[in-house]
Amino acid sequence: MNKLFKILKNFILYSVKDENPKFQFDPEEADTQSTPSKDITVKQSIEENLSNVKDYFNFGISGDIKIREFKISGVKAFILFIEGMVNTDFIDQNILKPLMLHSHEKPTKDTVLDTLITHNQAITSGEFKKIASSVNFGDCAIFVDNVDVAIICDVKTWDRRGIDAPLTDAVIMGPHEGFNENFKINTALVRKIIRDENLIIENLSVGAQSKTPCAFMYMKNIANDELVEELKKRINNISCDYIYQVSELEQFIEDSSFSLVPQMLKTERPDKTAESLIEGKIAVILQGSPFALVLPITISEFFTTVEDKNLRFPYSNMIRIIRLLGILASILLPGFYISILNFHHEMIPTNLLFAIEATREAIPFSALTELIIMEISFDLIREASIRVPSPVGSTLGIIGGLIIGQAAVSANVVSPISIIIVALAGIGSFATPDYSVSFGFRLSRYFYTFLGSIFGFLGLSLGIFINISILCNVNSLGVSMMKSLDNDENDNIFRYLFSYPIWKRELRHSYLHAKHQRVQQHISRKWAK
Amino acid sequence: MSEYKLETKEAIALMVNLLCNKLFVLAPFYLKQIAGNTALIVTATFYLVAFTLWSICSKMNDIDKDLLDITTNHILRKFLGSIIALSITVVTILTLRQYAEGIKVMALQNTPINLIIVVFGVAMLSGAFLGLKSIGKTNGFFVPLIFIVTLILVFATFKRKDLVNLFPVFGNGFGNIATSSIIMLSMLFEVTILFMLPSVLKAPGDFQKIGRYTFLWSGICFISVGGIYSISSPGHQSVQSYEPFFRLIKQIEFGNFLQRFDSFFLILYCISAFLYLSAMLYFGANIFAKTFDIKKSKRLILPIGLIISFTSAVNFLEEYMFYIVGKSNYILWIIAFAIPLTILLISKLRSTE
Amino acid sequence: MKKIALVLLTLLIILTTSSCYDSTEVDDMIYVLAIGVDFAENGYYEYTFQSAVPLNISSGVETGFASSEESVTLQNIKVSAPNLYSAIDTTNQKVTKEINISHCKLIVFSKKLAQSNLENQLKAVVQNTNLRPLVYVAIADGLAQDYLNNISSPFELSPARYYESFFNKDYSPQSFVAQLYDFEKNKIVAVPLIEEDNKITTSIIKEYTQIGTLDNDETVALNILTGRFKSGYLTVDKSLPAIRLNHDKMPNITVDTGSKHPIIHFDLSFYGTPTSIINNKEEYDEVVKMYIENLCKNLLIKSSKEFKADITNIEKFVKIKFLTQKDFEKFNWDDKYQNAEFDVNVKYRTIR
Repeated sequence: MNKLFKILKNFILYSVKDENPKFQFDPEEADTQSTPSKDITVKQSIEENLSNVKDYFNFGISGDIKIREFKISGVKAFILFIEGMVNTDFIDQNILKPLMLHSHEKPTKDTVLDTLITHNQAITSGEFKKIASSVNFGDCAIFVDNVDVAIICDVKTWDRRGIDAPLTDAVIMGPHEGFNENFKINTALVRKIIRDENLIIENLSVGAQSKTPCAFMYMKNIANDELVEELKKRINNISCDYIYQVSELEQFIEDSSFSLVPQMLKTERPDKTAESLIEGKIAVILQGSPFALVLPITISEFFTTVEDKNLRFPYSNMIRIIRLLGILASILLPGFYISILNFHHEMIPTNLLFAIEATREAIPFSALTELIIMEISFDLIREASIRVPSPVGSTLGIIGGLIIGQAAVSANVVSPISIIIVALAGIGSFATPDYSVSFGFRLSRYFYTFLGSIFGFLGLSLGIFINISILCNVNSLGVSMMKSLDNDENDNIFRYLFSYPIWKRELRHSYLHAKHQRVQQHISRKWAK
Repeated sequence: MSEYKLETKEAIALMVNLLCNKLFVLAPFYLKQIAGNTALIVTATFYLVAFTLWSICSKMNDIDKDLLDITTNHILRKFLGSIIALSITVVTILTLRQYAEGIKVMALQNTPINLIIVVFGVAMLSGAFLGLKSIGKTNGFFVPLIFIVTLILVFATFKRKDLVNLFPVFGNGFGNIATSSIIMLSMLFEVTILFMLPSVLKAPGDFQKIGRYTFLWSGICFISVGGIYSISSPGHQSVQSYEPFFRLIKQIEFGNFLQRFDSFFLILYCISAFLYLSAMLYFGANIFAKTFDIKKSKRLILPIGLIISFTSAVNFLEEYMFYIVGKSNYILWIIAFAIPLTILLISKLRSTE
Repeated sequence: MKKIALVLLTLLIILTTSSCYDSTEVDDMIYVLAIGVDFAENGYYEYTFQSAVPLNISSGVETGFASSEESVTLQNIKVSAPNLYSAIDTTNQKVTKEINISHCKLIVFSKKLAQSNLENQLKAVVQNTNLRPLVYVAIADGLAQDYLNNISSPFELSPARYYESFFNKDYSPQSFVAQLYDFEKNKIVAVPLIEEDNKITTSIIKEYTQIGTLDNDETVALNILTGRFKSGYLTVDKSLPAIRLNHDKMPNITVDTGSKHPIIHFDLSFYGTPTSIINNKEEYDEVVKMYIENLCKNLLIKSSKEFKADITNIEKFVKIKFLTQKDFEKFNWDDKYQNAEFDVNVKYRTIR
């Protein structure tokens, strides 16, 4: 009975209980407490150093910051490192063991560095900033009582991906080595190919907080000094806290952020990077990114692959022509199709016209709508297939092909010819060697389709004209991306479209204004006399 | 940032486009109307006359200076500059109208002409606004392609040649040939811009070379197109069409598949129109600014471009356009050849004194 | 940045609010493949528009095609109108889709219409930007609509292909081709005349009126004299084997205008292969040579005396001889041709 009364009471006198208010982040004032400047130097007293280090590195809060205190011949010392980033065996054998067991006299700055630490990379520093950036990147720091510097040793090791074949820049007749995320290994791969003391690899750092190491590579005896200085100036004058990826760096240093076309090449291949350096270009590699940035470039770089240079002259030209056709198809084919279908019927051969008309008779959508639906579906499939887990991957291909290809046609939602057009355009965009620029082409394809559907060939021509005019004004590190028709032996239009036999490639590109123009002698095949 | 200067080959491509552009619109029509059977002879004659006049002028010219720099008298300079800028504007208006009407007949029959003029106007303004760099490089990129494709298309109509259209050889007499040649000189009105080029060239010493190559390539184009038009197109003047090139291309037929190139020709037509209009607008604004000592010529592009677009959209032009174009042919050759020749002669005489 | 955005937005608004005036879907059109013109009452003309039904053609409902009342692949629409354009207007009223003549392959006139006057019809179509100058022109022996109603072929799926193949036979010397382009060029045009069971002879149109017809042999002669003859079979005599005749080079025509009547010299050169063994080669060669010469001469005399028209277009060889247009007009070739003398020289050799 009591229970019944309770239920009735709750039912009649129901009221919403005050729940715990949900968290809403809407502070009235910004948190203006600034972190104190950490401009500290190493002191003589070990206790002071220890306290500064614990404060600086948030020891006790961060679980992976480790401090090991020990003595060197009775003198207090401690070592600082980050667990998981260092080779602990190495620290034990080559740093702690000699210091703890083999020192017989009071340690000074010189003796510790010169005679006790048996490691090939050890430096000293008195600035906490420098010590911190090294320790954060996998080094260890040794502090000794009465020594006003810390000794920093490179003991970094962590699990990383090995050298795999490149994903975006695949070739058949060429090396299958690609960069990985460790920039030291990447620079070593390039150095392995060039083997020249004139290859300069300068170490820069980007990002005020992230201090991401960056390798700046160029050939001292080839690259133009003005280009080198300009790029260095751009990289050193980025005021940003964190830069992790080379794509972010690209967006900071490019000349035009709104252009549809990228102004530098991103490559995963060491051989392509090395080749570009020999031509007189500059390459930038960032820690944590398996891509190298190569600049300055022109638009012809987007149409060429390493394979063009590896293949013989007739094959490479054939492949180049097919690739150019594919690229043109990926940009212009849907716009062309829609212009002809809506405005210029007289251009279609009569029998083909009847075939198209028959298939389009039952379709409820207009040609433009159908094309846009197909394009968006195609892009969706492409986007989804990047993230699909591999067991499901093949199923998605079947679903995509079946649903969109077969079922949509049978259901009279789309016509077969628009599927062919979209598929050809998609295949053309896959034929584009550079991954970044294929996005630009895909985007411009929509503009051309739109213009073609409004004005026919007039709209298409308008799009082509404005696109090329804007492209003429885009620079890549100050070098115009559209080169002129000038009668340079190595800069004429044929050199862009076709590849030459290897013994004809005598000069470098003139737009780089390299220190040495000539790569080969005029007669490079001396045996052929 | 230093101002962009045109390279030699870009300048040649630009001038070839400016000179040969009229072939896509009304030049073959006027050629046939004025010259009749003697079209080939008249074309060759007036080209030779133009080349001779230009050679004389270029020999007298200082390398670095264009026409306006040479005239030291302020009043004469202002007068000359205004005349040239005004005539460039008028020619651009008429050409824009011809292009728009051509497109209307060839493809977009129901679209109101004002909309088509808006499209051309947008292309013209954006091309001119983006500066000399974009004008030079786009011309360098497109003009050789257009040139080659045009010649291929024109020679493909040679299958339907009827050489009787060239006879009788002297047509209506020598007098007719002479007067036709002089009138047709107006087709080469854009030579005025060639005289204004030295100040924007990277290598002003190449001025004569640019002129020679310009006349060579545009001569090949003019003579092939004009000649083949008179050979391949039908003889009766009563069936002549206002889109002569378009009718010419319709006759191409190789087998059952290689036909119907006339719509494809529209792409060439439109792109060459955009290149022409943007270059004319840029140089018109430049000359105007130079005449009246205005520092930033870029600010003149929008007003002049809008004036050109709106004037060509006026309905008055619909009735009188052919009349105005026909009459202007009597005057333009004076501005293109006679005035520069006079001025250069006077300055040469002055400098020798 | 804001200014650029404003400009782009304005442009977008202009482009999207002004509708696409000329944008028409392919399936909203009826594509006319052939037009037939006959006389009708009250000074009007009867136009027949023949168009294909694409759904049935491409699905291969029937093998081949046939034009008839029950046909599913072809439709013939008849209207009566004063000219072609009002006929198109009237037809647009009657049917569900818009008529489009840009794919028209053939224009057929009835014989009666050809014999009266084709000027209005031809002048209307010659300047049209939709109709291509390569459209074939023919005359039907009878009514044009009867011809269009009765065409059929088991070899093609659509009449478009049929017309393209039927009227463009380079390999058959007994047929002649006429396209709209020829009416722009010449005053005198030879047009195929289609009789019953698709037999083709040639009809001569001078200044838009039919002045006469040529039979098969005369058509062969016309082809030889105009240089269109490439190769073909010729039966010189019933008792002799047929011959595969090939031309060696283009006919060389010279005109002698000095004398009172112009003398026209034709130099023709052939070689041939008899289709079976012949006994006396020289005699055979002579017979063939005489046959061709007589064939050509008969046609030329017929054209000069009966038709009084220069059907082989010798005028162009005369024009070359004059320097100015005035001199040529003074010469008055049209009158002179009626009294011209012809000299045909044939060189022939048999090869095995």
